[in-house]
Amino acid sequence: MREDQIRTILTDLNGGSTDIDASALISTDGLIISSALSPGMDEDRISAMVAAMLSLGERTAAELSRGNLEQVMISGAQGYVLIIHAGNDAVLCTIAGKAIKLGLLFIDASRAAKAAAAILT
Amino acid sequence: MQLQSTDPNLQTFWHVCGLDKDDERVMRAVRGYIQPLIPRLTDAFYEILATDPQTAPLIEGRVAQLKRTHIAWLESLFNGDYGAAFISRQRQIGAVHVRAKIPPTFVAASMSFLRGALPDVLAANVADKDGAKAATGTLLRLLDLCQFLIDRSYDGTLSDGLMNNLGISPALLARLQTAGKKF
Repeated sequence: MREDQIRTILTDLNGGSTDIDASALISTDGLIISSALSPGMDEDRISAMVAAMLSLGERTAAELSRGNLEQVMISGAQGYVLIIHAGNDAVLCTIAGKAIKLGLLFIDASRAAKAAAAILT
Repeated sequence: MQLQSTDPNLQTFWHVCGLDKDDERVMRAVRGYIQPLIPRLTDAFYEILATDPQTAPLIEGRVAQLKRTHIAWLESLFNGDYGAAFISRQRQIGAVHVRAKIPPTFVAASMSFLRGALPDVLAANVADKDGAKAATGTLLRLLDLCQFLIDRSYDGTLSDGLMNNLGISPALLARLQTAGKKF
C-alpha cells in the first residue's frame, strides 16, 4: 500500500516535466525505498551514492556553520541531480535534464519529498 | 597451542592457518641458529627503508631505537610462545603504527621483505634441513598472523575517520563498500 503510494509520488514527479528523467526515494542508510529510474541506471549504486552525498552535505553545512541542510545540487553538462530530505529517514533524489526550469524542479521535488515523508511517518 | 581469544575472526584465522603446539617446538629448535643473525637482517631491512622516499622520512633520526624494537620483535617470532601476550603485542604494534601515522603499506612491505629473506636465512644456517623447512612454514604463518593482527588496527581507524569526516553511518559505509559489486 505505502509502496504504491510512494511509487505514485515518484511517477507524478517524473511526469510533471519532460525534463525530469528519473527519481528515487532512498533510506538514509542507502537502501532503495522506491524508484522510477531510467533503464541502465544502477539502483543499488545510485542509492548508496545519494545517501552518502546527503550525509556529506549535512556534515559540510554543519562544519561551515551553514545551518540545517536543505538540499544538495549536482550540476553536470547534461543536467542536474537534486537531493533533498524526505523526513528524517529518507532522501529524495531527482535527476533532471539541463533544460529544466530550476524553480519548478525545486518546488516539485520539495512537494514530492513532503508527501513521501508523510507516508513514511 | 590453544588460542585464548573470543575474537571470531582471529579464531578463524588461527584454525585455517593451523598453528599448533608443534610450531612452538619447531621454532624453539631453530632459535639458537637464527638469533645471532637477526641484527644483520634488521640492518639490511633498515638500509632498504632508508633508500625509499616514502619510508625514509618515517625512520629518520630514530633508526637505532627502531632497530632495537625490530630486533626484539623478530626474536619474539622464534621464542616459541604465541599465546595471549604475543597476540596482545602485535595489536599494540598496530596501535603504535596507527598513532604514528605509519601507513599499512609499510607493514605489508616489511612483512614481504621478511617472507623473502628469512626462508633463505633458515635454509643456510640451520643444520637440520627438515627442521629448517618446518620452521620456514611456521615462520610464514606467524608473519601472516602478525600482519593480520597489526592491519586490523588500521581497519577501525580508517573507517572511523572516514565515517566521521563524511558524516555517514556504519550501515551506509557497508552499503558503499558493496553497492554494485557482482559476486
